[in-house]
Amino acid sequence: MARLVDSYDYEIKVISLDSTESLNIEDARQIYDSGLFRYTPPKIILSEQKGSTEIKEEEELSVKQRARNVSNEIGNMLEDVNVLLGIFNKRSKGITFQFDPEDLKNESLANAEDTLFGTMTGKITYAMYQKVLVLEDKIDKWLSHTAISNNGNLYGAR
Amino acid sequence: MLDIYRYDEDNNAYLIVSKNGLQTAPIQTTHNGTTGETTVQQLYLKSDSSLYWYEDITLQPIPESAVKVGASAYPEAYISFKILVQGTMPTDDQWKNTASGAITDFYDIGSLHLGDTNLHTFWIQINIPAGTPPGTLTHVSIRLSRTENPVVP
Repeated sequence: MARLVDSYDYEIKVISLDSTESLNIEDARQIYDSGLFRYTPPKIILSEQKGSTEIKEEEELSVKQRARNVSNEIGNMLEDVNVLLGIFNKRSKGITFQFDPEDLKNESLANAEDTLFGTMTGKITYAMYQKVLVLEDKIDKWLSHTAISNNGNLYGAR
Repeated sequence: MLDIYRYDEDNNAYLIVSKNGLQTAPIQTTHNGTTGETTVQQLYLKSDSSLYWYEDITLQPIPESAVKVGASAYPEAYISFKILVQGTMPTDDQWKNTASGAITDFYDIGSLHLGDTNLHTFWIQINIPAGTPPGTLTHVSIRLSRTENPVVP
């Protein structure tokens, strides 16, 4: 029976791997000279000469494709905008603009409320504001339509 | 003799770890000192003779107390070195519940009438904290204590 004790060797290697370290010119040159990395430019392939009609058709297709791509991108963007507007509208439902209809400085505003909504409460809700926007848009379109019908003259042919 | 073995992937062979500071065939691990890194390694105990059996086997990471690196004094600045004896790779929780530098008991290898020359697994975990300066640390080792007994036919 014998009691034995031994210490078995262990070697720990600690290295420094700092990704933010930049290469100096000499390091870069050595890496390049080692042949590990080489840039080979792509070969230029000369295609067969095409007729002018063929080229035109291809160009048109390409233009159409690009237009389609742009249209898709705009569609995607509008979808996102609509989502944001939906959120904004929900949050804005509680917004109310109040004014004193008896105050003379608010006279035009009070008259506008009366004309558009038939009330003089001194309270414009967000829903009312949106209706006004829609109405304004309709008026603009009507005015443009009228002007076009009358050769650009908004007030009728002279 | 009962020794510590490691698996050499390059040669697909189990090799005896050198001992008592010879450093000819040490256990080796490499760590990123910038970010800190923990590695786990499987090691083995093996007797080269069926004429002996072993009892009261213990394994201990050396140095016993944690080794401080750099000038920092906070606890994370210390290398931790743990040993666990089991067949499968220990879980994170098992490592957490194991103290760095703790003496670990190993079961008997062989018995009074039977030698055992099989490989018996144990695991080591070394944690190098972030900010450890690059270099080679050789003042770490595993102390293997055992009582060697002759097998009685």
